[in-house]
Amino acid sequence: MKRKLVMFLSLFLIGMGIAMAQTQVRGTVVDEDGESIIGATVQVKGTTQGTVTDLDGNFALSAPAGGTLVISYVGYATQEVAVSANPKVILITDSELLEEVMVVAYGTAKRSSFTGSAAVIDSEKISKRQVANVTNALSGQVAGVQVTRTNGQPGTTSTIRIRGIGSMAAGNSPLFVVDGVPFDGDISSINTADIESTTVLKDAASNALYGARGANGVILITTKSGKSREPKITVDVKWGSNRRGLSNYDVITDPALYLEKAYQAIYNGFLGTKDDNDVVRGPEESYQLANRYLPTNENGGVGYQIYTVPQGQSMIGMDGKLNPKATLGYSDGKFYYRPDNWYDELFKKDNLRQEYNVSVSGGSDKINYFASGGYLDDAGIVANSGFKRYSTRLNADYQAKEWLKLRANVSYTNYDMASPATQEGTSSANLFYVADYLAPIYPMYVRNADGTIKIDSRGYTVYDFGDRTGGNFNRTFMSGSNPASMIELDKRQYLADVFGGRWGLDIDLMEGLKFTYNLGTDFDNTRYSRLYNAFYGQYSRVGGIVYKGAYRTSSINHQQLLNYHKILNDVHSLDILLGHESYDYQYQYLMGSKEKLFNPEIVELDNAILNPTAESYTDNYATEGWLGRAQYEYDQKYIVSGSFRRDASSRFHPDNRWGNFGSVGAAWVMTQEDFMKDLDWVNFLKYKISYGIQGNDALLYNDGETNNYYPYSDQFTVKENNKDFATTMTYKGNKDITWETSYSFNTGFDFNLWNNKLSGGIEYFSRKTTDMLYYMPVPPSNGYATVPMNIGSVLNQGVEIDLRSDVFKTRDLVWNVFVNGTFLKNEIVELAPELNGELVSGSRIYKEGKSMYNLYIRNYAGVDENGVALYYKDTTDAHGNVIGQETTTEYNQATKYATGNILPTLYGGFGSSLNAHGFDFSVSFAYQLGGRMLDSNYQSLMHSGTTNNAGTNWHKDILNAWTAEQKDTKVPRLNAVDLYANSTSDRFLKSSDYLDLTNITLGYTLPGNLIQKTALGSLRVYLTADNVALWSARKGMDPRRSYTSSGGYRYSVIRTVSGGISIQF
Amino acid sequence: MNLIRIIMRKINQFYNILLAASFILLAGCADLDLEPEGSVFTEKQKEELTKIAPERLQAEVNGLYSGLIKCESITDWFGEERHYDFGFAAAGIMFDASGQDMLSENSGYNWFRNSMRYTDRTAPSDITYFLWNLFYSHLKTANNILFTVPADTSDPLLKAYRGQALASRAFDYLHLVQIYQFTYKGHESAPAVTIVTEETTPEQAANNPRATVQQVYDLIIKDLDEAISLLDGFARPGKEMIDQQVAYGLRARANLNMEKWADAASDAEKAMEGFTPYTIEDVSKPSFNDINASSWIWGSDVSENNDIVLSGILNFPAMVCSLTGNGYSPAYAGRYINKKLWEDIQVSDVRKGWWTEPVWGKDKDGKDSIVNYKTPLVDMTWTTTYNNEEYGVIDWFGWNAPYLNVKFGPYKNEYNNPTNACDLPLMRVEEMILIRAEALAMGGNPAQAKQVLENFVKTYRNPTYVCAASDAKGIQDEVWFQRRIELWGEGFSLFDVKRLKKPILRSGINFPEGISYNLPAEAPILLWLIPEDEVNANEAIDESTNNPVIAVPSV
Repeated sequence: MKRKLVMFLSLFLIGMGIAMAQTQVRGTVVDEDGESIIGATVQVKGTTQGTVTDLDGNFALSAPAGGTLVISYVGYATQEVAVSANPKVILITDSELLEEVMVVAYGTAKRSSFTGSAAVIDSEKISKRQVANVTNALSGQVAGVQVTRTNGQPGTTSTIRIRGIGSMAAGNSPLFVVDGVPFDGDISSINTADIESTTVLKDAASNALYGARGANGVILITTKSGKSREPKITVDVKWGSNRRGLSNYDVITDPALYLEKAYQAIYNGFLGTKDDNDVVRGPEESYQLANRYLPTNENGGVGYQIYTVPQGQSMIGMDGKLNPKATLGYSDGKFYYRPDNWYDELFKKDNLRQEYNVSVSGGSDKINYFASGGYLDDAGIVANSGFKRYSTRLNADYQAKEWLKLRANVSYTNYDMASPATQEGTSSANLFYVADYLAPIYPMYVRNADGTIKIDSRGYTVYDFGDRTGGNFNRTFMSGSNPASMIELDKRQYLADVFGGRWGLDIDLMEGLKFTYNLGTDFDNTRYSRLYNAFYGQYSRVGGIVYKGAYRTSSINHQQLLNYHKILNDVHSLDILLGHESYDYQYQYLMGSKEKLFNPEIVELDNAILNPTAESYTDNYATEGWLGRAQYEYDQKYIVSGSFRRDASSRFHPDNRWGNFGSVGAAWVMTQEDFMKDLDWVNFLKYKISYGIQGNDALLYNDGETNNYYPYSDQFTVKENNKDFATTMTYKGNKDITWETSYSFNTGFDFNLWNNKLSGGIEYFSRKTTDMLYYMPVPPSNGYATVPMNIGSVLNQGVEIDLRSDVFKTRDLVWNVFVNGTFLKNEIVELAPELNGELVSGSRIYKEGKSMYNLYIRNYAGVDENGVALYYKDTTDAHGNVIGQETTTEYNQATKYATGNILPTLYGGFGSSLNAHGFDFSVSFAYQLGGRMLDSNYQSLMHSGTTNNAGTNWHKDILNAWTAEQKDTKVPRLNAVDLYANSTSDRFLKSSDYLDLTNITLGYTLPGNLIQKTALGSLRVYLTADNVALWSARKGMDPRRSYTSSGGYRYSVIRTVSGGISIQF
Repeated sequence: MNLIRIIMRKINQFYNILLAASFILLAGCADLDLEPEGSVFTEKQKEELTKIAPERLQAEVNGLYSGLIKCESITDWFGEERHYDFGFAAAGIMFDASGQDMLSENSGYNWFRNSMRYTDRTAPSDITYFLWNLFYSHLKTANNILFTVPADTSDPLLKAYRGQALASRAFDYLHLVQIYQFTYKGHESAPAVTIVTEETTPEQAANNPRATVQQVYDLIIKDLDEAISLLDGFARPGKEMIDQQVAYGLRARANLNMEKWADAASDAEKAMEGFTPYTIEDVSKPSFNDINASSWIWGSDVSENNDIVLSGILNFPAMVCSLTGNGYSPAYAGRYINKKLWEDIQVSDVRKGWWTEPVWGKDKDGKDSIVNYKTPLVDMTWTTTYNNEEYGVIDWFGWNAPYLNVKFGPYKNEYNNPTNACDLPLMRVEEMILIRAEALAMGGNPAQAKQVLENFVKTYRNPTYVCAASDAKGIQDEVWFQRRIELWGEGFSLFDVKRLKKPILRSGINFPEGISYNLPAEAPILLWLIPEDEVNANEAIDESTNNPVIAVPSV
């Protein structure tokens, strides 16, 4: 019936045809393997005249002699052939097609004629990585993209910066667009196996159409769709294990050595000071006192005795060494104390990671579909933490009428993220801090006098909290905590239902004119559960606490687009897009808690009885924009494009709400020129240039994290005060606040030489952010300390190089390599005039003409003749002019100096893959060079044994500390009463260069002739490893986490090694 | 036939275009006038609310009191939560920790250790920023009320609002001037702090030099004079609010600093009318936790729903109360009294029991050592069971050393109560009696002063008390001693040391190693520096006009 209709239509159209000599064409369409393609569309170019191929791939129609036939089929590159009697058309599949067409803002574009800067990472690259979140797979893959991984917890997102950092008080994160619709949800809810391609839009020509939200770059995630006509079933199973990906710093592991150093610190603290009778303490008295205080909580003692020494003898001798008669392990009659290796106990266990993905895809002439289901269970690296995700997706499109196409992408994800409650900071609840920084002298378990680990009456292992609730000692490091017990008994869980829907329809209004309507919705309902257990730890004293929260995020996006495409005289190609978009976002928060649990296992509010708390609020945000784009192409040689968007954001006062953004771009495909035709080693060469204006409305609160949706208004909060309302102003707003505007310039070449022997691009970019959203400091005596303003500008400029090479390519062997690099320079062009070119904010200095990442810290000058830390201090003349420099032990009086730029100046990635005789091997790296960071973790391991650091472990470098015998050193002496031995200074500034071996994969695909005898289409087995190794300036230091400091004590990155099997039917 | 199709097609196209146009029209109505719900409210919402519920203005006045018990005020500024960040009571601990009477462990769990070690004085210090922000954001609330409510109002309620705001602002400046400069006498022309009133514009604030001590006191007295007149006849609904008597009490404090003895004595007398000190029986158990006590003239009325309580441990009891079920004190950082001061308290004085006494014995090696602690205030037979083990008071609460305070009782006087909703004293009648005694003595009437002092101590603290001193200076010192023990832990000790120009004597007592040094009177390290943020943003203050950077003292 359908065919009849088509035939009828064809005849009808022919009947209407213009008088022109007609040729009767009878042709065949096949794929690369010679298999006939059924249902391919054959059209006479420039007309609506056409047909489709039959079951044998044959077609027949009459066409004007000298005309052109356009043959297209989903999943294959569209081909044009001259009209002849019996053409045989071979359609080339998709893999090469990706190079040709790519997803861009509000549509697709031919890569060859694209005037902007964009990079595509295909599904193969992403699917190799064992990540729950696509952002974690981007490191080193794309020029211009910087990835920082602050937290290793499975399911968390990396921080992405595209072409530098352009804002001080507004968000610097790119906009994520999933299947054409802006996405503010959790990227972890998108199964990476469902991702077809990820496009990073970097310049204004690519992303100015996103107006308000495009200034920090855009990441377009496109999910898979059906391609082949035959249903294709893919099954992929991975099974592997997780280990901590980064080891601890090189810390002291020998308890005796640690105690000797702690003793030395206490001893030095007493030596030479005066006692109550004003008598100066000598070595003998200091030795006595140091031994006395060592096992106590006072004056630098560690609080524990773990060695047994003969009656009457001291633990540490006059020589500073452990008493040779001391034996490890000590019993006070009731308990037995010996150190445990906390690091090994917590991290040296393998944790399972398993992932299963199944998908079915296929299509016909009217319908294409992709359906998938996935299950991921990543146990992380500590017990009771991990990420479990069930994901399903159905993407389909249906050609309902000749003029009407319906599309729907629907996904549902359920995930369960369990994680240790505290993953950063020096909190006693943070096991990453406690395990890495605890001195190697403390027991993890409470042991009975006979040395056995104590088990309580409930059958729980009794852990030593170091607070005398088990055992008789009080730890000086993180007393009252034991992370092993907490991960066993406490709970933190995020249980999320995430629904994403994309519905659309395309209506062909007339030849070349298409109307598209897109509706996108994302809903994320997350249920939070938190249990502080009723038996052990801080909150056991209140009978345990339970928290229950519900967070609902919803966003609804409407797009109405008109596309017009026209080709005139075969050489003039015109594309016009007009559109309108509106976006509504809502975040709803609800949280309650109660204390004293009835059933200690049930994490529900009704199971607890005391001190209920409840809070909730809703935040609302919306944007609206009118957009347009036009591209004109002459003979695939000269391309000019322009775009415009008028955008409004609810974040701003109605008077300042609307902004205009846009871009212009041009490209010249030089290889289309006659004079290049002879250079047959140049297959493709394009010069491109673009300039544009983009906006950023993402003003954050002063914490640098929380979105501020109402910055134009003073904001107040209401609190309870003695059963009545009490209001206070919590935020000083500014009615005039408006868009932050970025001016982006991009130019460069795309090329392909020697038949893919070398392809890639080189680009120069500059992005100047003006009217920066910025918290202008005002005197805090106003009662508020900052006012949001649009002031100042920052310039990011650099060069990106992206090279790919098929070094060797034959039927059986393909070897290719890739390398990319970005040179980046960040500079503050202008600050608020009141600041006179300089703003100091804590340990940072913002200066015109300098990088935004410029630390302002003291400079270390080694040690004085007594081993006390020295810092540089400017000397001045009577007029306050600096005339020289001296050193001082008084840290607070030392001068602060700017460090200069600490951002890396070059970053990128490289890798290689080899396919030979069914084997595939690939390896990829990410790197960063030329930057520095404060190694604040190392800093805290180089303390001088002061009372408030007692019990904190030492880096082995502390063995170089100054002593009377060892004076040639820059490490200050140990001293329990010192204040500034390891204060922040350039002493802890370390190169942030790194080389990160992100992935190694080895696979084997069974030969086709073996497979053909089975029902399988193909079968591949593989081994893959992620986060294999990191080389940085100091063992344990992870420069991937932050641009400024190594601090944070966060969940370590995870190394995963898995084996997998991938089958296609 | 063909013609019909063509027409149909055209109509189809027309419909399609109509459809497309209607989609666009529909979408053109995006609502961009959005408001927050719950988390914060905007000016617009505030204006609309005031129209339908004008009585909500009271909420702004209540902000004067909630502003003293707020937590996490500098979390955003600092980048993480500071556990000392719980309002005025925290400032009081900082003042006391900087003196010689209240000491604690020099450990990481002691959130006030930097004040104890004087490492918090520097301009970038988070503590000086906390203090500055605490008082200036609090007086911003007062300034807003003064700006809104006309000065010439005749409405009794509005007059009371203005009166409270003025007295509240005086309270702030009275603290600021003592934090950032030495006492009034002898430093009248020294630079103090910037003056911001309801009339100060942001432009003026950006170029606002440090006013002299004299100028600040002039403002304090002017505000209090006006407040006292405005609050005449105002019957406050609760003791957390400022009424005329509180304003008198504040003026008594100011006059005491200014050594206007007669005014101080008469103001104190007016402030104390109708209030009676805690009896011996009242303070024979840990107390000072309930605003209903007859001795409290003014206090913070902390309910269980207050943020500082819900925070768990960001509150005064968590840091100071030795019997709380939830806090740093005392197992991790106890608050102890100066051993020498404690030893000077007579045995017959009920206050001797406000701190634990060491019990000496032989340790396992036969050496003399402290084997236990005792105090008559605490029921030492109390026990609790935890994980099937029974713990007594000392083990359970983690009493580590003698001279630990038990002055402050847990919430509802229940040992081990994890809810730290204790009320916080801001002005007690005992302080007013002691101001009066000192002012009478110094104002030329030592005999009456001696009588007032003996009358109070004998009746309410130590039945056998006799004041040994009889001359003005002697009585002043005796009053100081009484203040040190009576007001211990309530934030007065540092300002008393500055006012009386006394040295700080920490050596030879129970201060931890490294900070057991003495400081001469008016040691420059006692002054906090004006925070860096103010110096950077205020044209009129720079490093040279800030307080000097002083080397941290060492033993």
